[in-house]
Amino acid sequence: MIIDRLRVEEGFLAGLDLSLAPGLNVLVGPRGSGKTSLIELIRFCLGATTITEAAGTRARQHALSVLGSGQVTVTLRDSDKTWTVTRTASDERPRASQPIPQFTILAQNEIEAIGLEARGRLRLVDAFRINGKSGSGGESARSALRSATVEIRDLAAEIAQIDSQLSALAEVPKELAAVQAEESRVLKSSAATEADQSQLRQLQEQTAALSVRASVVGRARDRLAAWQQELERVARSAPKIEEWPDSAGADDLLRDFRSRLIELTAIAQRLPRQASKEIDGLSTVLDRINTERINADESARVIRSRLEKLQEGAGAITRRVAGLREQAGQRAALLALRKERAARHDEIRRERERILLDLERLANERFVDRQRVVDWLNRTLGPRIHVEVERAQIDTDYVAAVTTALRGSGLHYNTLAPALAETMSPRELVEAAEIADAQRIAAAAQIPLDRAARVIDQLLATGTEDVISARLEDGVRLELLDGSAYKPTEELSTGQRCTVVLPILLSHHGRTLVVDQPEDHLDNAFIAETVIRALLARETGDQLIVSTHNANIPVLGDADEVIVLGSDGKRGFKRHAGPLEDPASINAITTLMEGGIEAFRRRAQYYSGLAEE
Amino acid sequence: MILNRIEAIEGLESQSAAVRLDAARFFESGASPNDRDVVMLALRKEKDKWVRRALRNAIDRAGSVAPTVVAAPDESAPSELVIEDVRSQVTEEVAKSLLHEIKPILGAARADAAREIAQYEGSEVQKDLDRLSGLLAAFDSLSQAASTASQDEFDLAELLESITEGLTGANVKVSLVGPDPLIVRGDSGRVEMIIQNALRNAVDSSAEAAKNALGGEIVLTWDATDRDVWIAVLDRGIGLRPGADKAFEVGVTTKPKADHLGMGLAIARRAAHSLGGQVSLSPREGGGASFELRWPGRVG
Repeated sequence: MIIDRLRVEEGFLAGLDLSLAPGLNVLVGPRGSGKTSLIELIRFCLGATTITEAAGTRARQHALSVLGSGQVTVTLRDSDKTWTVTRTASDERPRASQPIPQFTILAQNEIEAIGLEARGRLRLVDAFRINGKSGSGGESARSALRSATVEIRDLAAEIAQIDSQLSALAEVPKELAAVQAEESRVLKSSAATEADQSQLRQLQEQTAALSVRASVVGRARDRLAAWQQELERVARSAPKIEEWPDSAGADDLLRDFRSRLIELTAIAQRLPRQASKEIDGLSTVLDRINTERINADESARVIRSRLEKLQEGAGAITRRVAGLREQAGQRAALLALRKERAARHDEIRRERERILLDLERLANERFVDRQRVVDWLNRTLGPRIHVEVERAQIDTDYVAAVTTALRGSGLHYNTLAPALAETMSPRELVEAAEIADAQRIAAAAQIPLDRAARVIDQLLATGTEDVISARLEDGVRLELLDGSAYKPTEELSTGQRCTVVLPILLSHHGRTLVVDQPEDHLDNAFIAETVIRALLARETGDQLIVSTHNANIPVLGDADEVIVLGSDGKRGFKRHAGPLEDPASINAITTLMEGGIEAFRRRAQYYSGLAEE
Repeated sequence: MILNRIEAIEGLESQSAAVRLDAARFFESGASPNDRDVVMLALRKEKDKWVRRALRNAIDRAGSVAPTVVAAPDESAPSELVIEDVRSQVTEEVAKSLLHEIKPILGAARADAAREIAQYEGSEVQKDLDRLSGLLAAFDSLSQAASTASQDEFDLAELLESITEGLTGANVKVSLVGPDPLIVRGDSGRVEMIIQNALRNAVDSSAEAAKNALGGEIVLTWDATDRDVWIAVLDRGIGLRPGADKAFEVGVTTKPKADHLGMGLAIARRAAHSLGGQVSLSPREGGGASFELRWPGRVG
């Protein structure tokens, strides 16, 4: 797959029509003749990204200003099949009849920037991966992870609430037993009839059951009401599709879609209405239960007053029994509910465990894939250059999620969040918060216990789901053997960083590489030793497009095509294009790059003493 | 939650990073010096950054870590250097006089053993006597290493290439990086002795690491500065064990005593001193060790 031809309409390079060869294409020309513009137009047309983030914005702005209201067309060729990609400044994305393959296009000064940017280094390695593109993947797993975490948090809160209700009712069974014993003693000593006693017991059972019934139905109604509000919101947010404008042509292509959308919207609007109806139904049931309770209470009151007449204190004791029986019923219902919720809590935790393992497996696969690339690079470029891939080094999303969660807590989140992210994995932090293990957080992050406890409160209140599902990306370390030790790119000079990155880029066979002036920070010794060697090692069919001011690149690199650009200050154009041996190519290289034939001769004379030795 | 050491050791091998982290936390909260080897090995294999961090803390808490620079007596501490040399000289003097007495006895013992023991070949007695001979030979080299070095000019690149010839094997790859040729001044035999020693350690360490599916190539690199000539041996082996700061002392080894006499680095240091230079050994970021020799051998 190579870039075969480039055509530009309008703008600074208006009328440019270039044929590009397989192998090494060298773009030369004085400053301002449009070398960078041409490369940025290729990038824009193909929708290729930059490796570093900073270069991205600049590249797009450059392309847009060069293109103006014009259009750029790139012809791609794969053996004998060709197809075109076109784009204008206003096109959201390139227009192509087939998916556009990946190209590596480096802006000026981008090579030395790659070494300093973690994501740039990662993209550099990812470009070699066959089975995957950049990015973490696992989107659906991640969203499942979020909702599971929200559910776990909600369930935990509900269980805690049930527990507090239960603790208020903890003494009920004991009290009930005591009061019941008292009641039967009182009733036995009174002249209460067998019939009264059994009726009283029946009524007590009935009111207790009614009270539990009311709570259960009430809880169901509350739940439904909350859901109904959600459904209401969903119904209101149904998409509104614009009308077909006349300028788009007479035929409304969305006509069928519109009618289907109206149906869908109607279904969505029906849902909250139906839910409302169900709520009303439950309210009726609740009213009925309450009426029954009043009636039962009334009957009980009659019997109680009859008993009170027979024996003083009997009424009061039976009323207490009735009350405690009601509470005992509530307690039994809550215990059952708690058991159910706890089971669901365990289930969803197990489910989340599975999702986390899936995501970990995915991350492992990605890591192993990258490791393969890195091993190959080390075999190819070692021992001078050494590449290392490290798990989960890029944690900006994670730090951001913790920062957001801790904001407004009164904790120093700007220092605390990075410290937590550095010492605890997202999963560990969230799980510790969920089981309120302040000890673990305090020990890992080296913070006082009370601060750890506040971290937990804050995380549980605002967003364990964002923390646990935060994206983590592998880090790539590029090292150069400098003297007796390997140094990472951060500790290298600009030229040394290029020394590491350029050979990596050039070892990517089978993918067109476009580089804008790679020599900026490199001395000729390095260009001759490393760049040229890498250029000459290109395989047949590898296409390289390099703009340069350095004569060594076309001459020692054995260029297949030399393209000379010129400019009249208003418009850049092609002066010449041809093979390296072409007299016009030779002339352009001597004039532009060696400072003219006279300068070249004098230099040659100066060096000749050396050559004769 | 991991609550005991056995579970923790198993946990370190788990596929799940969460389990490994739990295990690492166990050691972090209370590793004993006995755990150091298992934790250090786990750290070499570990890729997850939180597990790595916890393991590093565990090693710190378990006590002595491999120091950053273990033995580099330099210009800033001349008195120490002198003391070391004097001490070594005393050791050598004592050793020499002992050697003088022991050698004939050892020779007699060998002859007698061969005659009197039925299956002498391959016997434990033979092995013991061989080790004793090896030790005596090593003391010999130690005093040789301390003797005055010659000052020849030679091509360092050529010397290093010849040393490494045949070293690359199934588990080990040695890469050479340095200017070729590089003419330097010094005692080439002495340099060879030192580098051979360093390479032997690097190869052993890499082979040991290879048993745990670790390791990597050995890089032998050299060049000259305006002051001196340096040679570095970088390996990705098991790295320096605690106690490596004593590695340059006579008879000290962190390896099993049956296979090593613990003389290698002591000889290397004496030899380096005789060249007017120094040797140093330090751990590498990411595992392995870096051995360096420097001596004022610049030509021109």
